[in-house]
This record gives sequence, structure tokens and C-alpha cells, in this order.
Amino acid sequence: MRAPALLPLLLCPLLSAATPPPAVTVRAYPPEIRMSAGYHGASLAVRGRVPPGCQVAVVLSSPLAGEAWPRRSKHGPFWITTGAVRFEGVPWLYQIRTSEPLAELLPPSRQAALGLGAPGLKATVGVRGTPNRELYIEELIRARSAAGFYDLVGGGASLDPTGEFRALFAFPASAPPGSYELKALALKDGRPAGEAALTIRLRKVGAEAWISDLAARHAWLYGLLSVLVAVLAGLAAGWLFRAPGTRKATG
Amino acid sequence: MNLFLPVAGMSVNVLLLLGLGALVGFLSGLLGVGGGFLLTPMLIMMGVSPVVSAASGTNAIVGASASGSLAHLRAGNVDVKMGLLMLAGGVLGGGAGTALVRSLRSSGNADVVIVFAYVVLLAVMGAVMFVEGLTSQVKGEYETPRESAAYRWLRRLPFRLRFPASGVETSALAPLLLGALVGVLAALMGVGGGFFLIPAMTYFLAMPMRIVVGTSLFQMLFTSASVTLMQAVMNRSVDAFLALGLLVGSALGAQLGARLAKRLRGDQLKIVLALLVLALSLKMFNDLLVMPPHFLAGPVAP
Repeated sequence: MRAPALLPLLLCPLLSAATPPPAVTVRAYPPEIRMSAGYHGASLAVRGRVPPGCQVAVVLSSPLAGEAWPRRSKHGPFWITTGAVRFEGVPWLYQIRTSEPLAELLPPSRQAALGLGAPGLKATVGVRGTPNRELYIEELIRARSAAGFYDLVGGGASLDPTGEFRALFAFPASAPPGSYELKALALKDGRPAGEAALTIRLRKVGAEAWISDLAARHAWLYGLLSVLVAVLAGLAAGWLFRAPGTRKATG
Repeated sequence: MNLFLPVAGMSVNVLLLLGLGALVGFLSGLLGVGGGFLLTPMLIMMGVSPVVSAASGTNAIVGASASGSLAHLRAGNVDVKMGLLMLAGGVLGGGAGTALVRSLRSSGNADVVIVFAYVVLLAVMGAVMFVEGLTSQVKGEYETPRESAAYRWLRRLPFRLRFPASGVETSALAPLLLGALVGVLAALMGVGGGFFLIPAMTYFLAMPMRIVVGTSLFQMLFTSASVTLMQAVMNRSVDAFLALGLLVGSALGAQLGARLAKRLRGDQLKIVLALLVLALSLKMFNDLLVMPPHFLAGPVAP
């Protein structure tokens, strides 16, 4: 009679081993994005889970890099390029989706501390070549947001009471190939309560891969082939259209 | 229907690309100029970076001038000796131009210089064509003076040579200098130089019009080929997909243009093109005056 009474006690460690604490999970479809000839940007569907009662922030970002940007300023009546501004530790792609608008979810100081959104970028990005640090980070954010690389407003993620979340991201067509990080962050009362990350690869395939590889690694061969193909295509067009009395072909 | 351009790193609508090629080809077929001067600014407006626009536009011109110069070579309209001398100048100029693009690019000024050069070039060309077209409309047909002052001055330079195909005698330096200038323009702006060479050969070298068009295309083929090669090697900025799309469009357009050219009056065409060129120049100039959406210039993508 004692055994049945002990059973729950004996099973308890087994049960807790079978169901580990409800961790954060994230998965994406497609897991890899292929840039073929018809590629014109891609959407990335993200699903995952956070502990019930938590909010979620999902961030898609590229690796951090240093970048020099020509700086435009007004000289007389003209807007022309003078000098450069160098940014350090800046992602070229940064998109955030949250279960509530970011501004409502976290105050700017918390966003900065967690490295999230515009305050997060302003806190981490280094700027050289101008004393006007804040202004130029804002300009960078504006330029990249207009081109679809940055999306810092937040919101857009749906979250149900069980902690299942969904979000959709958009890679702009001009996002370069490489590895991007997708990170889901569970937030409880403005504090991180666990996170999960995975890598999304964007790579050129087929003719795209072949051509850009050739252009980068065998520039001479690529240049010669470009010229040859153009000459042959031009001659073929001239030959195709050479009807009687229309010999006049022009460049 | 979209096509992803591997070197430009962006996606374009194929029909738009073919249409742009066809429009430029049509105009060049109609008027006997290369068309690069229209191609590059229009590509820039489509969002292709100026450096890639210039390099890929030059690649497209290779094809267009290949088809044209073969036809003229068969018809005996090419002064090969003059063409080769201009070519030698063109290769030197093309090398200098490509190096110039490279240094401008590293100083961050390439795009601004290209846009500025275009504004000036298009404005001057548009104005000259407009005045010429209007003059011949008002006066009826008008003849180019056969021996300009510039021609007489260039003749006095050393290394004088006879050019039997054109029936002229001038210094070997004259075609070399003209060729070099065209080479620089080709590298910097992605233009074949036809719009510049055609009047230059008539005014500075006093060549007959029949030979001028054929020789211009002949030397343009080699200049644009060498510039394409140098851009590919030094700047990695030739997008073969972009060039091919433009080429197919422009080959079709050029044939249609050449057919239509026979039915229309030249001076009227000239005025139409002049207005188009002036409008393009005005648009680019306006872009320099209006406050940009942000103070950072250059490509948004890395």
C-alpha cells in the first residue's frame, strides 16, 4: 500500500525531466533563402514559444560591421558629397517584431540597455568623422528604414495566451547574401526571461552564384566573357534584322 | 517578371529593362548616336548605383556598336586608319578614366562627379542639338563648314598623315587626342562617345559624314570593349545580366529606329531628342538642388 502513495514522488523527477522548464523556442520558414534569377526579396515566417505570461520581441539582424558613408552637405545651392562618416558596429539589416508596440513594451532606457530598437542602436553604434553622433545615427536609421533594411517600430508579432507567437519579416531584394541572426527574446515585466536564436542563411544559387563568383574571383575572364557575349548578341541581332534595304545598323 | 542582377545586387523588372534598352536603341537607331548618354542616367533613376550603371551601360554599347560597325565595314564606310589611331587614344583615355573612377570612388566622390558631369554634358548637348535642329528648320538644310578653324589648327600639329578613306590630311595627334577624350568619357560616364565623336570628326577632322558614322561605331566597339574589361577588372562593377537585358532591348529598338529614321525629317527628330535630353539634364540638376531625404549619400546596401 505504500508503493502507490510513493509513486507520485518517484515520478516527479521523471516528469520534470520529460517537460523541461518552458523555454523560449524559435523556428523559421524557409530556413535558408536562395537568391536565384527570379529573386526579388523574400519573406521569412517565424513561429515559436515563450513562457506563458511573457511578451516577445523577435529580432532579425545582420552581423555588425564598420561602414564609411559619404556625407552630403549643402555648398552654395548644391547638395554635394564632402567627406565621410564612419560607423562602427552597425548592422545593415535590423528588423524587430514585438507582441506589443515597442514603445509600450519597454521604455527607451530599457530598450537601450537591452540593445533593442532605435535606442539600442543609438547606444551601441560608434560614429567617427563628425561630432554630431546622434544626428548621423538618426540619418542612418532613416536611410535604411526608407530602403526596407531597418524596421524599428516593433509590433506585428501575434502572441496567444499559451505563449505561441508568430511574426513575418521581409528581406529587401538588395540585402546581401550571408548569415543573419534571428533571435526571440521573452520579456517579463521589461526584463529578459529567456531567449533563443538561430541563423538564417541568404545565398546566391545557380547563375547568380556563378556570375558573381566569376566577377569577383576571375575578373579578367568575366570581363572578356562580358565583352564576347555582348559582341555575339549584337551581331546576332544585326543578322536577325538584316532585311533588304535596311542595312543601316547603328550603335 | 523580375530578374535579380548578381553584381548590382538588386532586382529589376525584366520588361522595364528591355523597354529601357528598346527606347535607347530606338533613339540611337533614329539618330545614329550611341545612346549611352541616355542609358546611364536612366539606370541611375531606376536605382542602380552610378558606378554599376556606367560600367554595365558600356558593356551594352559593345553589342550595339558590334552590329553597327560590321554593317558599315561591309559598306566601306569605315576609315580604319583613322579609327585605329582614335582607338589607341581611346585605350589610353579609358585606362586613365577607369583609374579616375577608382580614385574618386575611394574618396567617396565618384557618384557626385558622374552626376555633375552628366548634368553639364546633357545640358550642353541638348542646347546644341536644339539650336542646330531649329536652325535647319528655319533655314532649310544647312551645310557644315568643311574646314573649321579647329581643323586648320590641328593640321599644323606634327606627325602629319594622309587618310585616303576620308580624303583628308591631318596630324596623327588629332585622332589620338579625340580618342583619349572619348575614352575618359566612356569610363567615367558609361558612354560610347558617339554623340561627341560624330560632331568632332566632322568639325575637327573634316571627314565626310558617311565615313564619320561608320568610323565612330568602329572605334566605339573597341573603346567600349576595353573599358568594359577594365571596369570588370579594376572596379568589379560590370553586371552581365543588366548589360544583356539592355542589349537585347536596344538591338530590337535600334532596328525599329533605323527603319523609322528613313521616313522622318532629321531636324524634327533632333529637336525631339534635344528636348528629351534637356528634360533629363534638368531633372538631374534639380536633384542636386533639392534637399536629399537624408544627409548620407551612397548605396544603402553594403
